[in-house]
Formats: sequence, structure tokens, C-alpha cells
Amino acid sequence: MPEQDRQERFLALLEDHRRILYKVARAYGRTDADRDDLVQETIAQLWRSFPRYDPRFRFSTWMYRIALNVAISFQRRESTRTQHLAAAGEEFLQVVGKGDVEPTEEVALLYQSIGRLDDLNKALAMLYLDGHSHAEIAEVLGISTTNVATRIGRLKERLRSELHPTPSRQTLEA
Amino acid sequence: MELDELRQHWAAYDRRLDEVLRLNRQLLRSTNLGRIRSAMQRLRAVLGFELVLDLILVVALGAFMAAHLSEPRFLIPAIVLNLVVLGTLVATLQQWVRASALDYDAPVATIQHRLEAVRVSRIRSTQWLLLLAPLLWTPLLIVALRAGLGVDAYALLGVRYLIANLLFGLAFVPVMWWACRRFADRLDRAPWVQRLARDVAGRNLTAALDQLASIAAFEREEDGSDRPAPPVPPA
Repeated sequence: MPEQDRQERFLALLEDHRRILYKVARAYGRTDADRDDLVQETIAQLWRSFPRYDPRFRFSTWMYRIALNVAISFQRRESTRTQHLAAAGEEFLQVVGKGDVEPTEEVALLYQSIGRLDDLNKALAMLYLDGHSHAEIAEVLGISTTNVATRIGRLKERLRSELHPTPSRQTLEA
Repeated sequence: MELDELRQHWAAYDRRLDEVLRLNRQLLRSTNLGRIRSAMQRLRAVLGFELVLDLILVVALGAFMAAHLSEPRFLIPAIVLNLVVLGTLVATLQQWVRASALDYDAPVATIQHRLEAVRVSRIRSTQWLLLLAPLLWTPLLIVALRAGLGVDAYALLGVRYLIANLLFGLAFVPVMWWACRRFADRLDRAPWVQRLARDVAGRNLTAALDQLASIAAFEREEDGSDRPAPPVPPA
């Protein structure tokens, strides 16, 4: 496939799945600058790995793998920041129209709960919330489907207890 | 609010993101994404540089040893230095091979496990090198003076001075270790010094091993049929 066609195909697929970039960066980046760096580095890594992408598999699954691997490694890196290819003020993901990407109260609550999880459980939670099947989650994370099922069960309990904390005795007495 | 309801909110947020987010295609087309070096590429480059440096040192020390085969006072310090450099070379080569085999489109737990293993190996090398450094100063002085200036350190500085230096180095190791444990976390104005201090104190190693253990635990099935996790690299 000629280079230009390949690039256009990549951009089209990326456009279709741009929310994955945003959500992963939102979950793993601590600051806005971190998130911008993370989006840029993820796109670069996706482009570098794109020649190995097998179209028989879902693009979203493949993209999640790379985005999560980049994000987790990015978070644990102690050294230098990403080299910026875009000029100041230019971003690879833009908010358009009457756009507001600030999450609703419920989603913000979910992000808060997800933020308290460790890196791998965070990935599991995002994939679960995105509606991926156990088999797909297992494929992205590299664990067995039974393991996924067990962990999702535990995750649900944890989210439930965080979102509906059991009232303490004092609260009940009050 | 039930989880299913929250999932619906999440899906609605997804649709909202689809509406308001756009990929800046123009910027992407004009940008050479291949120019960004990923963290892994940077690590591989650093490791490659270290490998070349270690190789040069091994060759140089080998030449020095060959030229001083009949002079144990120069030969022994050179052998000590060469053993350390060879150890570093082997560790760096292992890390480079592990880092080169990493592929970001492989499953997340697998890649994170391998990445952390590289990190553990790297921290261990740095820790040992920094702890040994005060002891290597004396042999380095003897070899460097001889190789660089043709000067005999034993004659110039005296055997007593060299022994005192060696003993000072020996005493300095526990002091350095204690100081790193005591002050590593307070060096937050100089992150790279802090990192080295935490390496010597063993804190970074503990954190990396904890992370490795938590990845291994995540990979294990929790329904009783444990699948063995990849082994932790040897010290």
C-alpha cells in the first residue's frame, strides 16, 4: 500500500476511535500537559506499529493495547518529557463547535473511582465500562477470561461500595 | 445509582466525545510522527551507548592488562576494574536484548511485566555500581595514572596513601548507603540525584519489585488455577 494511502487509512481509523485516545489520556495523565504528551506519544506509537496491524482483528482492541501500554509506561517514567512536534497551542485532539468535554457528575465520579485503582485494574475498568466482552478484555490485557470475570466481579463490588458507601453508625444515629 | 446506570452515563459520555472531539488531521498530516522517539527507543539508545562505552573500556583494560602481565601491582587493579566493567557489560546487554524484544501491541500485562523486569535489572546495576564506586576509586587511580601519564601511583603517592584511600572507600560505602536512605526523599529539587540516591538506598528497587509482584498477581488466575508468572530476573 502506498505511504499516502496508508497514512490516510490510519488517520481515518484514528478519527473513528479518537475517544479512546482521549479517555486513556484522561485516566492516566495527571495534568493537562501530561495528557497532551500522552496523546501525542500514543499516536506516534500507533503509527509506528500500524504496519503490523492485522485488519482481521478489531482496530479498537489493537488500539487499546497500544494506548494502555504507552499510558502505563508513560506514568511510570521518571525522566524527560515527550519531544513536542506540534507548535504551542496546537493539539492533535481538538474540541469543536459548542463542545465541552468536561464529564458529567456521574462520569466524573467514575473517573475518580477509576483513578484510585492501580494501573492494570484501571485498564480493566475502562474496558469494562466501554462494553468490551470478557474475551476482548482478556485479549487486550493478556489474562484469561476467567481471571477477567473474577476481577470484574471484584471491581463491581468495589465501585458499588465507593459509589454507595455504607452509612456509618454515627450517620445512622444522627 | 446502579452500575448499569453508570455504564449508560459512560456510553452517553462516549457519544458526547464523538460529537465534540475532532482529530487535527491537518496537523497530523504535516507532522512526521516517526520523529517522536518513544520511551522505549530512548532507553534502547541509552543502553546502546552504554554498551559501546563498556566495550571500549573492556578493550582498553584488556590492552593495559596485556602490557602489564608481569607487573601484578598494575595487573590486579586492572583485573578488578575489568571484572566490574564486564559485569556491567553483561547486565547492559541483557537489558538491551529485553528492551529490544518489547512490542507495544502485545498484551498489556505481558508488556508491563517485561518493562518492569528491565527496570528492576537496571536499578540493580545502578545500585551495585554506585555502591562499588568508592572501592573502585583506588584501582582506577592506579590504572589511569599509569595508562594516561605513564606514572607509577605507588611511587608517586605511596602505598600507605593508596591503602588509606581503599579503607576510606570501604568505610564510605555504609555511610553513603545510610545517607541515601536518610535523605533520598528530601532531594526533590534535583530529581536525577534523588533517583540515584533512591537507587542506592534500594527504594526504587523495592518499588519496582512491588510493581512486578502486583503485575504477576494480576496475571494469575484468581479462581484457584494459578498460571505461573514469568520469573523475576536474578540479582
